[in-house]
Amino acid sequence: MASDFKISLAARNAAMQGVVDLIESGDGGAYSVNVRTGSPPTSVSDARTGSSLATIYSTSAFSSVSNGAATATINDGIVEADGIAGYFTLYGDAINIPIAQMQGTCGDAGDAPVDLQFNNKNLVAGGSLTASITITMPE
Amino acid sequence: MHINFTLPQPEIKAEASSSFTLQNIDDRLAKLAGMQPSDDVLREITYLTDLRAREVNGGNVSGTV
Repeated sequence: MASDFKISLAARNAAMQGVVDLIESGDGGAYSVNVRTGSPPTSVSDARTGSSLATIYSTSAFSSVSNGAATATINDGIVEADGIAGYFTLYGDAINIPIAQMQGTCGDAGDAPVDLQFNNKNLVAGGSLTASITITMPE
Repeated sequence: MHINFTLPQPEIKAEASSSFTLQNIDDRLAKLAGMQPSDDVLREITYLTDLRAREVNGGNVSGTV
């Protein structure tokens, strides 16, 4: 018989809360998103590749976990260098020693599906950047 | 009885928007003008020139492909 394993909503919420708690475990609960060029490394624990284009910092905590999901809006920062957004890394403990907790691909509508979709992936130095994120723990 | 369970990877849905000023665009175009005219450079010059010609709202231009 094929696999049909599922976890309860309570388990999903608990797992997602654990992820959020880890991201916000640093000083002041600060977290950040760094956008770089090129393809993401094989693993979150690998050294970051490509060139850094922008780092934006959190100004508020993640939302409460509901239905296995949590959301966040990150917008404190500017684009530091010109380039095409290739991948992002979400860091916990942004103020002290940032620890990479998640990574994903970047692109725009023409590259969909990507993990972080820009209105325009061609970033221009000096510009502003805002990201809204929803993370969901599936069944 | 033995159950093997691996926690599934979380899924992410994220959107980002970037905006920049006319000066940002001009600075970038000046830099591109001094670069070797590769396909990527020419594509970006075309895109930014078109972007610069669009209506500016409040001094910021929101770019879309």
